[in-house]
Amino acid sequence: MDTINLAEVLNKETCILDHEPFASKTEAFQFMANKFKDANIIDDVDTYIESLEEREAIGSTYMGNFIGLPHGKSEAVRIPAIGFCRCKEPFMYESYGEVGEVKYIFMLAISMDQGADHYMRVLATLASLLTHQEVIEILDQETSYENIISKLQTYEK
Amino acid sequence: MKIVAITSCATGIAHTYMAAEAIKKICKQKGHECKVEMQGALGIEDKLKDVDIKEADIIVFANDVGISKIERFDAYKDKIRKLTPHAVIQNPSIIFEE
Repeated sequence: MDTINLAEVLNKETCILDHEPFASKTEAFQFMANKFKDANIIDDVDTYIESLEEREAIGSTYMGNFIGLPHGKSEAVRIPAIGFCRCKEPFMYESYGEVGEVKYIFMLAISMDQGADHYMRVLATLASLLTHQEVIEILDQETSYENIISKLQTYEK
Repeated sequence: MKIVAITSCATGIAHTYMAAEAIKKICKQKGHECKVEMQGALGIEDKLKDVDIKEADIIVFANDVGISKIERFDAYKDKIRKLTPHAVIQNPSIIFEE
């Protein structure tokens, strides 16, 4: 597989390791959206969260394997990006009538900009990587942002 | 066996690509040939050829939005398994179930 430059879409500021478990999905959305705002990925927290909720209303983003993959496509997104949050313990994540334990949240910020294909390609590649158990182990065990990026970039199927 | 699949989803970025990878992975594990066309936000990728569709033993539709150029499959309706990308991601071996 082509080497992917994950660091282009996953910033250190939006890669949160060993956070306390969230009380709810809503709390997780607020927390991550605020990280996106601080990192200048989105213009407005509420508008972006609205787009996450719109997506939640059409299908589940609980992916099994302790993964929650909420994603919002919004005018509020300046540049496509990924937020990652690893919780110390799983929390109950409810999505479209499905409930499951989530320990890893991947939040995708998708822009309306049609010229963003390059970034979209990296988001798509990351999504496909999440079906590999070896990748989940990297995300579970690495102790720093730098290690996660370097291990993922050298991971080959 | 030969498996072909089409994946698509609402936003066209997460489920489309995760489902495609899940299908490729399970087919590889089980030793089946597999081709997956993704209809996502980046347009149609790895488009199936008519011969792929004709020779396939199983055609998997893992979509929750409409499939483009669906008329390609009109003659092979008996081989089609209609699923959602979500179901395929959570349990990839579902594609082999009758």
